[in-house]
Amino acid sequence: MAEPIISIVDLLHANGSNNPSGLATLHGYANLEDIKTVKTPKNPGDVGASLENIATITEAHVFNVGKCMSKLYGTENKGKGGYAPVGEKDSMGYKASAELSHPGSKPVADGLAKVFSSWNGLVFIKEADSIVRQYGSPEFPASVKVTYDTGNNEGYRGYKLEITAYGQAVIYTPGLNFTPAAVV
Amino acid sequence: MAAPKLPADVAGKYKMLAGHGVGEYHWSGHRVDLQTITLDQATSLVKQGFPYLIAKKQPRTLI
Repeated sequence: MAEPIISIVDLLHANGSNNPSGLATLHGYANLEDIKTVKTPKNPGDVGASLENIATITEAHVFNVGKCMSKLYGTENKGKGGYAPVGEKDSMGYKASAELSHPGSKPVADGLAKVFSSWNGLVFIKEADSIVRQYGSPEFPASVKVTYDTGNNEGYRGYKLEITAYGQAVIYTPGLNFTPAAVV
Repeated sequence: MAAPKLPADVAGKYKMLAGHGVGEYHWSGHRVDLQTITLDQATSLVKQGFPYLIAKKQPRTLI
């Protein structure tokens, strides 16, 4: 076997740590073409690579002038996200998936459903403790499938967004940016 | 319309990360409005690692 390309460390959980499950209610999404520079995690073979920075984006994406993330509201306790392995040992990858529910019956949401049918973008999902994860990458943009359902008279009317992307949902520490980029 | 600016006292100490505008950011549990942020709030956020404000180099005072 060759030398490991990255050092492993202890994986512990501090007594009393806060660990809420589920998602927050405000998320973001962006067209890939609106991002001038998409920042990425380090690759395991890069100088300075560590377990912390090979699956985390620590620098803010730079948007084209006048562009930024758009807001995406999801009803509380009706969304979730995560990733799971795909492929075989020695060739394993990941697929990320998230679900959001957006209430109502809206022309804008119907239009977005059409756009999402052929879309290249990234989705930024905020978890209950405000950690933001990015779903999608330039190589594998997020895929968003939208279904609309009126529900019954004691149910929920709205849109269900199923977001998937090959690759992990990596942590994006710069958070959500809803301010159009300025001229440098 | 002119682009929004940081409050004057904040702008005296901090500048925006290149390519980013003055406005709304959601970072690490904080909802930040950079148009109305106070200097104390800005300093506290920067100390915690808020990435969109960069401390300016302060000119040396000659004694």
